[in-house]
Amino acid sequence: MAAHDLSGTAADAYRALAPAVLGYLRSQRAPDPEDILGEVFLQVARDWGKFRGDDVALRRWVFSIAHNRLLDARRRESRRPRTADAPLPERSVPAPEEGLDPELVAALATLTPQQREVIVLRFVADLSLEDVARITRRRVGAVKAMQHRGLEALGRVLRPPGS
Amino acid sequence: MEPTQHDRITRRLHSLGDQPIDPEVAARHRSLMASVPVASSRSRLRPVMVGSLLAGSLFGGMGLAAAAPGVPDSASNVAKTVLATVTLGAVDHPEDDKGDKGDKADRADTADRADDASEVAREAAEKTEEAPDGAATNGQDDPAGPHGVARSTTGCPAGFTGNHGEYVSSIEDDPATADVDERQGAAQSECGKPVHPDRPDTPGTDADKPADRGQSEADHGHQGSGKPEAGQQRGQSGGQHGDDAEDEADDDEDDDKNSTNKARSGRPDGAGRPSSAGSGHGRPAR
Repeated sequence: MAAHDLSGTAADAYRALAPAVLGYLRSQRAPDPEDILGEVFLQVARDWGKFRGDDVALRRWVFSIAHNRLLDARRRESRRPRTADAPLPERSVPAPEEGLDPELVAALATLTPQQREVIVLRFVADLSLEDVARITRRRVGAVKAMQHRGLEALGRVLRPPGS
Repeated sequence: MEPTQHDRITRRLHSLGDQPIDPEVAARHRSLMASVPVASSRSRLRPVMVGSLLAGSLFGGMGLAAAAPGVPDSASNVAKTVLATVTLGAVDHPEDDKGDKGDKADRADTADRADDASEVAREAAEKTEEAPDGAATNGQDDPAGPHGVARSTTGCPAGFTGNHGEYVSSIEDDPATADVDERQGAAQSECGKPVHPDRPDTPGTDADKPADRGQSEADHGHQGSGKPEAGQQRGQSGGQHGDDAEDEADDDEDDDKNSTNKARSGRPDGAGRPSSAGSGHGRPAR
């Protein structure tokens, strides 16, 4: 095992994909999105030597890691003990308004978790229907239906005033 | 949904993917990534290759050891034993003369083959122990059948060749000697009993414990009192018991309830045999 030379490899992947991954994590209201972002690209750097594929495959791989890290983080969060009488610790999750479209984030919050997952992977992460189906372990038809219902719901919430 | 609104929403969603990253955070991430050791695909294959080489050299060396004429017998035997356990067909094995070795070598499952090999070896060891001269002692393999067993003539009247049950039933209680039960004495004698009970399923014998079986034979044979109550009852029932046993033999073919012994022996012909060491009690001579 040798230290990985980042020149032109995982560093480029970070530069190209880290903003989208951070947007994916924030729009999913992930706890500590920047920490999760670091974990994601740590694994990318670790497994960079095993990766074979083009830019599309790289995007799919990176978002697969992000998806799994998000699930892990939520699982950890749910296991964290909570005390009823003590004040809740301040979460480092940024408020949705920080650097995000607050109206859109609020509209995303009205979707079901499955619809939100599909919409965010499809349009924020900019993945194809097939890639979303593969990452979420669903059929393409199911993903397409969820995308359709999610966009309709967002359209109802985000209806321009006066329409 | 009208296209303009759909486009507008997707555009806003795409803009969520352009999140600016704090340069300090980005620098921290990059330094972390730079310090991570990289697992290459080559390093993943390395343990597999090393394992294959080790396994190949081990089995290759054992094959040579088994085949080499200059190697001492003990080392060669160890290698043969190990290779026979994993059923490598090129090695000679004493069980080859049974003719089923080739079939076993063709089986795909190595674990099953190892089990079969050990089973065959165990059976061969039992046969060798029971019949040092190589004669078949299994009732199915014996040309004389289960009734061709040698029987003791100790205590028998001259010329008597029947089994123990026939001998006991032939003894009448003498009314002149009321205080002596002649039939009970006959039941406890050795006359007509098999000299070498070849069934491991008889009570008081344990095929898995040769030493115990020897003790059991001593109890039954030399002292004549290994199971006195059973011996008396069978002896008193006499020849009628022989017919009952014959019927039971037929019934037991289909009746599994009886059969600790049957299950233990796994031989259908064992069902017709009475289950005690003095097994000649109720069986008519054929």
